[in-house]
Amino acid sequence: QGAGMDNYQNNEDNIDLLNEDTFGAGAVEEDWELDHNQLVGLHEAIPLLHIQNLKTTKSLHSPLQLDDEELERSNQQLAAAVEELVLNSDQDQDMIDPAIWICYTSIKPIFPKMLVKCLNSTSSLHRGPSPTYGISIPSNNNHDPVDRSLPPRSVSPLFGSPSPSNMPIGTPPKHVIMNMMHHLEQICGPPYHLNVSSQNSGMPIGVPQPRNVVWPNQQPMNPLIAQDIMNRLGMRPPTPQPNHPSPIGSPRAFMVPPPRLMSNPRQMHLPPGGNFESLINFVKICTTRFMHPMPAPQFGPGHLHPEHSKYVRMRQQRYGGHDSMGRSRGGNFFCLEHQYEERIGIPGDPYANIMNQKEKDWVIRIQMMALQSDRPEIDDYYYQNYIERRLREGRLNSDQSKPARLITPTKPNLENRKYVPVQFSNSLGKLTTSSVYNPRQIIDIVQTANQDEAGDAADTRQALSKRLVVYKTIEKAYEIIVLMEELQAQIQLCPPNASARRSLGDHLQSKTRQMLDVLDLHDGMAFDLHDDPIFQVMKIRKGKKLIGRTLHFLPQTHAVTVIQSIFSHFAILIKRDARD
Amino acid sequence: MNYMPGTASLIEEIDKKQLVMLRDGRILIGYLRSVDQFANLVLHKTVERVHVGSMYGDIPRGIFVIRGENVVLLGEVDIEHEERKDLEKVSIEKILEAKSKLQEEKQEKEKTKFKAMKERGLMPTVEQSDDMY
Repeated sequence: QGAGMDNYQNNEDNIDLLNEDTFGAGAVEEDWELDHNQLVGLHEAIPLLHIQNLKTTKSLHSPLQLDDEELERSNQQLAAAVEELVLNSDQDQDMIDPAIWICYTSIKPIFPKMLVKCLNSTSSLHRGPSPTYGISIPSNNNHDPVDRSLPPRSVSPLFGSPSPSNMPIGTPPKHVIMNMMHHLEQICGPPYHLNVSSQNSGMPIGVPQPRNVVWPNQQPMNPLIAQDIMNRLGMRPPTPQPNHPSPIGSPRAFMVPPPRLMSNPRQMHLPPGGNFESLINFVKICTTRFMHPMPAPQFGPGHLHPEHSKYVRMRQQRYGGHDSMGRSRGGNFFCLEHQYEERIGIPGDPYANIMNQKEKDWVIRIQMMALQSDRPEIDDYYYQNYIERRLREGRLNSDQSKPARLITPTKPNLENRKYVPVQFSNSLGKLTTSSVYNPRQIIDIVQTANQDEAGDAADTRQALSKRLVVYKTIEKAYEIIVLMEELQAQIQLCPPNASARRSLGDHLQSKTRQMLDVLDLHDGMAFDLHDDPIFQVMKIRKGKKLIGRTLHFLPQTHAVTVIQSIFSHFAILIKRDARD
Repeated sequence: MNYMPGTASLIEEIDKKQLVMLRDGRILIGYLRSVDQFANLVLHKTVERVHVGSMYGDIPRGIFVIRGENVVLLGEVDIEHEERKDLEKVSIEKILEAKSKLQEEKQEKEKTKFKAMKERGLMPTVEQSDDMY
């Protein structure tokens, strides 16, 4: 108990040392309350956020001030930073989105000093607070000699729950994004910035403005994939933007004002949400284009084949009047705009849209990412095979107008046929031929009576029992004949020793008598044709062989009887032999 | 099906009245406000519905945050057809009373069953309502 108490005391003493671990760097050394207030204040009235630079030296520019030189420089900086991040990826265990740290640098002057300190404390890479809040373990890149009693692995997250608009748990792993961006760089060259004039007031902290960034497209975007992606994000096809030249296939294609479904009327004029998601999607598209030159049915689970998605859209439009509950989309009370109705379960629900579109898209994105797979043939077996089969059949979207006709095997209608006798050319008169309808006996087929012993007699019980008796006789005889043959063999082997031979000989004699009894051959019995037990036995194959063997052992008279029997039934026996 | 044709998501169920059944057997009815990738749910104006026989009672619970792993199923409630003629709605006290009575009866039955089994030398197993344990 004493040791326990000591331990407790020790823990008490050291508890302050652990503060930093428990509460994070910000809590101990700075006034976290002040920081928190600043952060809260910041969140409510968020200023312009732009990705301008990757290094913190430049102050914030308005986008209109960007010129080519700076664009070029920022391009290079982006490329450099991406490279750096990739190279240093083994060190960094944070799940930090590269897009986020880009933002951190640019908004550095605005952010509270807590974050700045974190940013500053790292070397060249800017590591902000981990978005994964306790899930991942940041490596200790702090070169400041911090007195830690615990090993670096046990660093705790920042105190307080994460703001919902940050990118929390579930952000795609860094290496995936890095891969994508790397590939992107390889394919398309470094991105360049576009002038952006519109204001972003809905963007959460930490989410960059990919609108500014356009990747030069070297290959035409697969329009079907783009459509598919856009469908999934619920976006309309790109509308022409007068101010900004938008090359077809640029990420701008995704960043149009959201469709009717997206946000409430108040926010209609604001830029779309989910920009980050569309960025990722675009990156994915580029990589998939790059890595899968055959786009054919190689869509992973969660992606529809482009033709299929077209069909789904068509169907939706056609049946857009009724939703799943059978209520018309017009709604009960508000028949106005779709977007207003669709969002609100109860008309005028003041609590609607607590989860805004960005968050929904974020969840969807995570779910879609979970569906990503390297081997869609296995993971998405049924859909892939279905699409494959339909492609083979040449019909991808089932056409409602012309439903598939069932082809049943057709038989010619024979009932109403008028019989015309067959006429042969170059013949005089009408030659008749026989057919199924007009049969004619052509061959004389004689049915010879096949007298099988097992014919009619077999059916009767009497015959059966008689046969059974014969079978039994044969079996008994077999036992005896085997013994007899054995004895015979012994006699042969045995030296001509009188006693042994005699005894064996006696044995044999007794056996022979047994056999005769079995075969129903009695002394003084005359051969009777009609009641011939031998013949009965001979009729059976096994019995025939038995008789053959027995003949050797039988005394003269009985042997004669047997021979007599054989000769009298010779014909039948021969026939049977032939059959066998 | 707007967002992910070919897939299913709870996103479409947001802001609609849902009936959620939990693993411990509770039934909650409320407006689904938010989901996440684990299917954690945020229910608004939640009501816990207790059924005993043909009676039921609604206990207002406010806002619920439900961890996704505890959800057995959920489905949209059709507001137009929500009223049931075959079920009788009673006050909370009454339904809770009925429920506790039912529990008692069940326990009594279990007890006698156990006793009978033990007398015959069989070891009675406790029925698990939750698959967790």
